Amino acid sequence: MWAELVQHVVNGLIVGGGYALMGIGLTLIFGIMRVVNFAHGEFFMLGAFFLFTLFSLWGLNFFLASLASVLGVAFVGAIVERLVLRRLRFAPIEIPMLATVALSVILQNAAILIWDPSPKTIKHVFSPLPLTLGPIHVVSIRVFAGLVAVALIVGSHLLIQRTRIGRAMRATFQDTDMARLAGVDVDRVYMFTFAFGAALAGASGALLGAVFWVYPAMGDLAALKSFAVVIMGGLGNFLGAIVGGLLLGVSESLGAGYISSGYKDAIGFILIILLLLWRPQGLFGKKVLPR
Amino acid sequence: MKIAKMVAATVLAAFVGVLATGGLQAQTKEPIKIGMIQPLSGPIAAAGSYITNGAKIAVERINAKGGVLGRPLELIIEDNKSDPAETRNAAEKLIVRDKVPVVIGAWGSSMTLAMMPLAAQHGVPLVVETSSSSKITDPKTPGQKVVSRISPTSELEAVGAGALIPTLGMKKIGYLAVNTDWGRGAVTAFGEAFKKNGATVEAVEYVGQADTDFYAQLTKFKAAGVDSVVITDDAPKAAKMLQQMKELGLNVKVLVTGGSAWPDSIVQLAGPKAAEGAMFINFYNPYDANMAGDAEASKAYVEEWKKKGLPWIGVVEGMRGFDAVNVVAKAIESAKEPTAPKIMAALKTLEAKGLYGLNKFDQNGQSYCNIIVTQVKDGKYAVVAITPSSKLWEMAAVK
Amino acid sequence: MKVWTIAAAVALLALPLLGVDDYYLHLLIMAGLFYLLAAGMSLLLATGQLNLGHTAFFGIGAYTSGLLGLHFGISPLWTMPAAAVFTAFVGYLLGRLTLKLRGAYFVLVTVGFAEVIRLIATNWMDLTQGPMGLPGVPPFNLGAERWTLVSKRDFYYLMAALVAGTLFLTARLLGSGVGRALAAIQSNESLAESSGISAYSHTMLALVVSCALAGVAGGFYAHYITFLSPELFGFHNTVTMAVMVVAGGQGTVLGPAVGSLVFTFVPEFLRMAAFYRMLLYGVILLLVVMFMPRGLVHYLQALVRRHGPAPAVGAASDLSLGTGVADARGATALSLRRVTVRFGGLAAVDDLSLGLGRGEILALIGPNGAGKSTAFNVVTGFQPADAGHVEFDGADITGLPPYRIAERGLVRMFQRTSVFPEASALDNVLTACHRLARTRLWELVLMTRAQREEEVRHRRRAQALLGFVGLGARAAEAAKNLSCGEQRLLGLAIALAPDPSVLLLDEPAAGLNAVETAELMRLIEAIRGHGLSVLLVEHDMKLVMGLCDRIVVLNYGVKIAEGTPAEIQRHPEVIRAYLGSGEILADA
Repeated sequence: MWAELVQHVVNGLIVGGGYALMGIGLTLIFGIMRVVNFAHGEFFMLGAFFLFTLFSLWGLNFFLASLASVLGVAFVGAIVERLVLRRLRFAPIEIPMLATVALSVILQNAAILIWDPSPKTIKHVFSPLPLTLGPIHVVSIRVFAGLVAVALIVGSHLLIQRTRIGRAMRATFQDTDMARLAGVDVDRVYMFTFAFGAALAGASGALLGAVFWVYPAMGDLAALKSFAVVIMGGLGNFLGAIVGGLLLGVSESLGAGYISSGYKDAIGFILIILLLLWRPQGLFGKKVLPR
Repeated sequence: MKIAKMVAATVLAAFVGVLATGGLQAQTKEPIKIGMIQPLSGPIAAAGSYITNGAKIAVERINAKGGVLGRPLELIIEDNKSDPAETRNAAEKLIVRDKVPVVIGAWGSSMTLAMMPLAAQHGVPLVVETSSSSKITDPKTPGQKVVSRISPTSELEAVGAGALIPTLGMKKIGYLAVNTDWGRGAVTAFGEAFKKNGATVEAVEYVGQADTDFYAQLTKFKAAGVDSVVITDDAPKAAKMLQQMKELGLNVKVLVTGGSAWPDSIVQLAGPKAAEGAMFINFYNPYDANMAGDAEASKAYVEEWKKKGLPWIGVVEGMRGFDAVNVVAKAIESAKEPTAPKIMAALKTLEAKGLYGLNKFDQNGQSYCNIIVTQVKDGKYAVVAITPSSKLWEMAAVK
Repeated sequence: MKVWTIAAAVALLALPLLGVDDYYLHLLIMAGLFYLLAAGMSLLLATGQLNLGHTAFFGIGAYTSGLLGLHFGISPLWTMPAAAVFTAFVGYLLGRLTLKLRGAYFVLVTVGFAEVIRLIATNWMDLTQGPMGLPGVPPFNLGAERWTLVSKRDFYYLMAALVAGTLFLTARLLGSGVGRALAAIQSNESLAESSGISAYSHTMLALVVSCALAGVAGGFYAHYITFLSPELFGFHNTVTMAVMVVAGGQGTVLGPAVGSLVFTFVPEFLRMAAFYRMLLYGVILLLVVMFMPRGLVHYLQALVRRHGPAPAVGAASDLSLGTGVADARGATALSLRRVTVRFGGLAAVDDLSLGLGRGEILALIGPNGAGKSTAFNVVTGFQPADAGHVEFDGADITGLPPYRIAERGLVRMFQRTSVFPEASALDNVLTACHRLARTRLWELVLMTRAQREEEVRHRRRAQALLGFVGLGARAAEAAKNLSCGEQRLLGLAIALAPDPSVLLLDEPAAGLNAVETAELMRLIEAIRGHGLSVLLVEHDMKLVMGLCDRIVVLNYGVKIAEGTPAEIQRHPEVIRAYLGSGEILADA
């Protein structure tokens, strides 16, 4: 009985790591740019497809291909910010939101046309045989995915806390006008933030694409999950996204294991609704008073 | 602002222009148009593309041989975005505007059900190529009278495969089914067959259409001590389930129903080690043309599929489109007139040898096809058993 | 624009008679269906809340009407209204749970809500048959067999009637005080609340109406398509509605209509693009959002180049200020009793007691951070007190929400955010007259004589108030275009609009020059002349010493002095508190 529980929790943590990566990207984009990015799932999908193309089709080394895929998605994100979102910066919140909706339609259907809709597997370098820790089974690719997720999360934290661009991002998050006055190039921060958020989604997609499989609509569910993560953790809250992601992964795994897998996806949202009734600002979000 | 005005004017002009040309679009009398509705975008786009390609191969082959009634066949394909409401829109366009005399579609059972009332209202026959819900050929369902279905129901599958169950040594079964009409229908139908043949279904777990991780469900099965797992889901999901079973150390017998997953697709998606020993219920064998009802057509179909470089894993799904078009073509030929009522009448008495087996329709519009049980043996495609469609027709006649 | 609209309406109604293909009638019917959904979404969006779970209500309406018809054989004549009522009720429940959330949180919770509903519909096999779907929903039977709608034309006219009804309803709501209130809530919620507009009630009203419309649309769909499946709850439907609302032109009556027409026909016509269809659709959508963010309706209007004259207001009436004062009880208009507010370990306001006499002008002064704004927030309901009471007109108002306090006649003018920027000056004041509205909702929708007369009365009064503060000539100007000083005067007019008996002014002279300050003093004196009592926070000592009857001094949340201007100027504690600040206490 304990073995089963621990197995569920371990499963949930690994998937939760992927959710957390998606959530961090989304929450940074919202926190700093005030944009609800409905194309986040498509960046996830692009990461997977780039890895498939570079590794499975063109034969590049797996780890190099992974890195290049993430950078590729970052590049796409930067272009999107520069060409589309920048001119919509001062519009009410639903306008850039709708623009990202349009982008998600474009990206998903472009993917259908470029690579066909047939699902693809990435025959990665890791052995399919599971590693066993007592009664717990876990495959190396998942361990790899989990470790990379942790590394990226830690790396993101360091980037935001220790680097100049990270300082600039934090300043812009707190007060855009003041940051501008203090000499921060807000345009550059916005582009970097969006590219960075997209890259994290792309990394999550490449990792999960290698663990599972790759197809154009794979971003739909991932996007929905990342919204759940972000609400749980509080919009704009980095730590909240991590906790939210892991919490969602584990609760889904436990829910599917012990209650019902049909309602599994609902568990996350029901938790969120209950959570928000209790704390409208999310687990870690800040309460805002009228001035 | 200037750009804004230009875009607004363009949108307006496009709107008006297409409205006008839409009305003016002259229907050329020469080709015979038949309609097809498939999911070309959205989550099920892969299946839709396979079936559409199979249909196109059939159309090209027919036209190369001189067409139907001396006229070329033209396939008008509409996307239903994997959605029932969109299927209705697509059907409105094909039936009401384009006035096609017959429609093939619409892949998913709920999508097909959504357009049946409209087809019945206009008296347009529907040839159903994939949907498996028994509701579609149930006389109580509105629109059933215009349906001719060449794909089998889950009940038929279960009957065809039922006799095998004791020989497989499946006693305690864990069932993983996709949470759609297809999955739920299969669980009911196969549940009955398993019970009749002395096996018990220990646990049924439904998975979402977009789910990728089945550890929770498989861990549950493992704890319940199942000796076999039955799966009703598409090839990528089934492949993943097989892989994850190996990863979790759940090494039991596996049977995949539904016809879309088959040895080659699972070997490609899951790798030969994970796929080894898994069994599948299929309706078509691309390697042995003689198993099909029409060996020549089967050979030609497979050759053309390869020539076009289409994904091999889809060849057992593309045949649905291929057969559907051939059934329609034969019906038009025997109707001598490409009109809906004549085609409907012709379908009722049609007998066409196809890749599914013998395509003909009982009083509810249902056909009985080959049920083939295949397996991955030494990493390769192997046939375990076949219940040919002729046998199923015999059984039906006796009933 | 009116001519175009009527011509379009006539043309659309005549279409079936002109022998237009049934396929196009179907598209128009679907466009009408989406219009009902988009109009509801747009109505709620007028308050600034975007409901991206709206398709859930569509589905609930469809299943309710469909199931009632399937299982009990009741005619759609009854099941459709029942579906509308039930859906509205579900919307009410959702509103109760979620309307305290704002902005992106509300959006994401509604997305989650729709997902949960979709999963319930997919998994509750006994009720909905799950993904198997419900075929055989009874067609549209209006009571008797022979009144069953069969042909496209029948459905078309039914939908046309529903569309017309919705257009009328939304036009009436948006064009009246309700519409102004909704816009006010989106524009400046605190100011709206201070003017007596309950953000919660109005947002709830918009939500319930939008859900009822969705319920009607769902019922129509059920009996038109006669097949139901859980895909109705899919997010893609909501995306379609959101596109129609935003790209059509949010905040307008015709916006959702134009949006639903364009975005029903465009994807259908893109079918000829075959495999590029959805890609093109995305590109078109992106272009519309990027280059026409205000929506198609605005740009189409610009193409037609309409320059109508602003509606004439007519003669100004008298101000009717201070009408409630005569009935007020007691000599003390407002009093604070031992009010304490703590933030963490710090007491921003510590055991504060003060009283404002009737007809008195009292100033609350003190160095920055002394707790003056916090005290104001407590009085007006924006900040809960940790201890103590606030009494107004003899009644305890501690802890009441801001709009209720405003309803009783205590109104505040804000320090910074004091106007509704997008609206005209006249509309600003008109919106704030909300408290005085006596007509009921149904009278408003039906445009009864009483409602029209009241509207005229309020307009005249608003004009008079603008004249009172000196902005009479600027009535038609958008508030954001007024100068800083003019906006301050407008803020004053807004605060006077609800006819308060007590007025709270938060640093009214901030940023004004000597001439403007003198004018302000004159106005406040005139306001007192109408019988109002005034409590103000100020730093400008010239105004304070010259205008006020009494002064209360705060420092670090504690009252350190109270008395006449002369007394305060000599008070040692006060001088010590201000020491080094460079303030001039003595009147030159």
